[in-house]
Amino acid sequence: MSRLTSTASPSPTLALPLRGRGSRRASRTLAVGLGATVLLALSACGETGQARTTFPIAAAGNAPETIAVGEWDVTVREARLAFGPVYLCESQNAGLESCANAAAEHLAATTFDALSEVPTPMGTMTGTSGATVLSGMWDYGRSWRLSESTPRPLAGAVDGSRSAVIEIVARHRADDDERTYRFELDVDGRSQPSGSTAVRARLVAHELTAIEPGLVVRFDPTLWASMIDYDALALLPEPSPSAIVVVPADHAASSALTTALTTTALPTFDWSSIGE
Amino acid sequence: MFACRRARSGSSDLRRRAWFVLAAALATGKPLHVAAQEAASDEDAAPHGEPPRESAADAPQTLVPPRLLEASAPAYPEDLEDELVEPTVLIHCVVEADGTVSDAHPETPHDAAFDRAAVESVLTWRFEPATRGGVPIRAAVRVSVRFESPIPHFDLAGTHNEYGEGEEAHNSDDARPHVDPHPPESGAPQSGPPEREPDEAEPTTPDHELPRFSSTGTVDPIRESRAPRSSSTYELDRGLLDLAPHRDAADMLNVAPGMFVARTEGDAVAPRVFLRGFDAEHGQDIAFSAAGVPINQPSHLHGQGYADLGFVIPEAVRSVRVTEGVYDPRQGDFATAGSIDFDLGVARRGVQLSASYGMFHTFRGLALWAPQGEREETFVAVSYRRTDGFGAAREGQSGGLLAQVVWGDDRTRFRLFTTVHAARAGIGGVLRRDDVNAGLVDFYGLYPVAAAAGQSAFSLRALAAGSVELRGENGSFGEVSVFGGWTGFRYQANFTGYTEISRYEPDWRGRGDIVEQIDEAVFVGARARYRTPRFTPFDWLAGHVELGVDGRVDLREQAQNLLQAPLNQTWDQRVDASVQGGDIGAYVDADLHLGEHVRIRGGARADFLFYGVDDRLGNFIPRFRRDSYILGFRRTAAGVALGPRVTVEWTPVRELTLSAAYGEGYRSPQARQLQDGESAPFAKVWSGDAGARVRFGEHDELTASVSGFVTALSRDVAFDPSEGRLEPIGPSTRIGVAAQVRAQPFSFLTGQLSVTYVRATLDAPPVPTIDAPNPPYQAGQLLPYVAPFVLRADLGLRERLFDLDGVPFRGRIGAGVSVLSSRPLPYGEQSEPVGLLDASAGIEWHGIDLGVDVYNATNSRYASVEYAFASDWQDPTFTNQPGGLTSRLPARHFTAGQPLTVMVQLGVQIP
Repeated sequence: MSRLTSTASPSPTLALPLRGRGSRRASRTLAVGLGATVLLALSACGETGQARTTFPIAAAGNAPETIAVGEWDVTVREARLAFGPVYLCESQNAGLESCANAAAEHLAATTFDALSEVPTPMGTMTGTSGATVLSGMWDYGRSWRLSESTPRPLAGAVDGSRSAVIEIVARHRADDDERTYRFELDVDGRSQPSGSTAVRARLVAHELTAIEPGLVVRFDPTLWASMIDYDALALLPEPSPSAIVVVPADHAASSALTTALTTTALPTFDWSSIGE
Repeated sequence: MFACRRARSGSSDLRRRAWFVLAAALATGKPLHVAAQEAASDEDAAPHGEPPRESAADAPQTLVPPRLLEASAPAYPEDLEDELVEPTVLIHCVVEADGTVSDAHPETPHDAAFDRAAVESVLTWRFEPATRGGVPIRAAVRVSVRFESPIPHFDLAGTHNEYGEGEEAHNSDDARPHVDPHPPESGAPQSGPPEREPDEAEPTTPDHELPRFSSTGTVDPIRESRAPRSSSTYELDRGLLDLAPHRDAADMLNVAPGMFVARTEGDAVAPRVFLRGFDAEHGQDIAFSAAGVPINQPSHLHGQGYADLGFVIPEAVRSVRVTEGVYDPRQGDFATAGSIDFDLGVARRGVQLSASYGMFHTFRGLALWAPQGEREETFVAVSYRRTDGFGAAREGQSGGLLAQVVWGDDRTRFRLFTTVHAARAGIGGVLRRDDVNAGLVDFYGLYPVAAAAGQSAFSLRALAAGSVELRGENGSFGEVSVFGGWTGFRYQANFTGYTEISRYEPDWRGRGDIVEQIDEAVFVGARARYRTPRFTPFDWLAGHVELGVDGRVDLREQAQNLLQAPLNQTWDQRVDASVQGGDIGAYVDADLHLGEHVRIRGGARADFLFYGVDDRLGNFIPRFRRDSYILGFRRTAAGVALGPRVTVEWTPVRELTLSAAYGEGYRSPQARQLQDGESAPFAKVWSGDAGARVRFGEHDELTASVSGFVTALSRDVAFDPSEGRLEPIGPSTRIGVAAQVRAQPFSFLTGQLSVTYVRATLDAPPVPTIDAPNPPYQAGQLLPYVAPFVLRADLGLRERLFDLDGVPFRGRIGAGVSVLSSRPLPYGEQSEPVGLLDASAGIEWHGIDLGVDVYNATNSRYASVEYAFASDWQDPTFTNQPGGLTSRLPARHFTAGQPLTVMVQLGVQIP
């Protein structure tokens, strides 16, 4: 607030050589008019059609289940994923330029258990009510700004630096060969120009309201696992019997998981209370 | 002092002589120099004046005008003796059947002391009464009373200056009759009846039937043609403008009801102006002019209608005429919210030298020469200002020359006007509210990044104009004026920090969003108009018709780039264009009196606009098809804007005028945004106004106006921070009410209060484009940046305190208060309300003026303008800063307003 501590308003009704009843009536009319003006002005404050709104955001997953992928029975044993930052956009296609002003955002990353159906609170999302969300863009715990040369891990990254750590148990049905693969993924926008997010996606339209109950972003690790070529993975040397095979980042299976996280197995956005 | 006293004593004879000449002129209706000769030889030989324009002898009962017999010189107000002004006060009065004078009052009140002295003088005059068929009758006459300074100066008896808005000349070469000796024209309206009850001796002649001996012969027709068109027209004279201190000419506009002027980008960039629900930005919605010369620049890169008022030296402003709304056919391009004209002139003749120095090492020097014996409009002024600025990167220097010469007689008058002005200033830029609240940056500070430190602006302007005014018979006149000039503008500012991506090479990113804008223009134009003599086809109808044309051609070179600080390397090109613009306008305007109480004015205006654009970056698509064509997109467009304007006034009694007005105006398009062959999409405005003006007191000690208004605009625009310029947002509507009260209850006290409320809403959201796929506007929302509620109050006291060594010692004190309600911003944000108090005090003795001006006396930390958009001001070198993420959520940004600033001023007036 400005600190106007004194005012100096003239008194137009000082002892003036006015003429008769008409002038008094005019003065009264002016006073009423000025008063009405002030009331109108005060009543108009705050009406802009939009307002800042905040609501909780949470990330959730799905309970593990065993699925058949080719000759393999696959079960996701561990899925820790860092999610965030998240930008929701009013444009049809999210992007740095088309989403220069976001409808809502959450500027942090949180690691959560993607095998738990119980939402993990991430904090608060801030947006503008009245905006219609049509798309979104986000990162997985690693992000960068336009002026940076490479993406960097955020405080909420998995184990302090990764986007995701996923362990998948694959059991060959014919020969009962079971292997556990560990993926340590850095999923970010490094393949794109600086500042780009890892994911840009269209979303089901949703208009932000002044009182938004919450947003739950739900991932399906089993779906990710279904997109891996386990025959190719089986070619990887096993360090020792029953040992976990750490899949190199440049392996096709890692790329498949990255593609799943960024394109083919995107999460769903559930506009509902996170049920804390 | 002794010399001065002797001079005064000697001057009294000269004054008596001058008044004798004037009295003779009044009696004979002849020019002063003729009257002087006749008076010198044979005072009684003066006949009854020149033949009437319409021979009264042909009338069934010959009507003979009154003739002045005795006229005493007015007493020059003692308190104002060293003011060196020589005003002329126009007085309306009634000459009774016995030759005495009654019901005298000034035509247009100005300084109450002069008005009062003039009235008192006229009431002592004696006339030979008017006669009808030889029978004395009462008659309304209009006389002019001229004051001469008791302090002698060059050519005392032969030259005289003007006063207030009186345009009448009284040089020995151009004096006109001061009592129109002619009977009223056939069917002439008997307007402006005195209120006095009819004399018993003439019970059959009520006041409203009094023959009038005035108006057509003595009212300056050009001045008359500028009469207010609605109750929302305000004349800000020096009496009002001097109440509170004003930093520059633009700051004077804050006195106008509903107006707020913010200097957001330093001295080298045009101020941002808000008027009655319009965010006129740098002038897009207000047609600015100075001495009749248009200031707005069409298709300027920084903003359509860009109007830099820096060249207007405030001491040379005689009055400011603010017309809110578009009801006058003379109002052309950019008059969507209204028009503002600076009337240049200096009442106080002689040489003014002044220097002021104050906080932030701010210095301002002024030298102004208003030659004695010349018209008020004739002056030469030079000013220079420098400052370290009230915050980081706000240093600046500016200087200018402003000169105007007016000469001629009452029939033919010439005007030459020129100005040269330059300014270079730093720009503090915008800060995020959340950063300031978190203590990351000082309210008047600057982000510690190179892209913030490199903000500045530079402007250079040369302008010249000339005009010829020809006054004819019966209120006719013609006027031809030409103008031309050159402007240069360079601007670099950063609103968004580090968010931009190069379109030239998309891999270039985050190098800082310093937007560089370059705009250079050469322009020439001309105006001409002619008003017919007064015609009276019926007893109940009289009037004039005015025809006018104007045209201008602008040739502009524009460029907009992104620069990387600190070496100003260009890393993106956004605009590289040449623009040719032409505007040819024509209007017809009728001024009709229906009976004695009703006046109708109006007509229509048409403008033809032509554009040629050489967009050298047209068809640019990065990385694609670069080898398939050569860049560039040349296009032309044209369009027509046509609109009627009409005003109806009803003046049932002198104290009250009711009016209703309607008009359609336009704003020309930003040429660079036109497509080939497109019918130039004007921003069309529909404006309506209804209100009343009242005035009370013999000298209009209290005047007031109230008006309700509605304005609809077909294509509104709003500031786009990413481009640093205006972009379309859709149609909008404003509904509001404004009230103003001005009072001078005592000669030493003047005050004004105005309140404006407006509800400005967006009618439909803008159409999404590739560049702006999700514009942040919704139908029905309040227009951003526009304060619904604006209050302005001015109060000033000025009084002679005592005499020191026989010379009056005066004191003055004044203050001005501006209050703005919270302003809506995009994305549902709201700005802080603003309350500002400026005050001044001073003493004056013997031509020496010592004063103190205090701006923002309460040291309010206010934002002159606030915005809402996304930005990223993180230092790009801190790449590993934890959590250093780019927020894309629109945040409140602001430009800091001027803090408490105290300036001490010393001035010397040399007669």
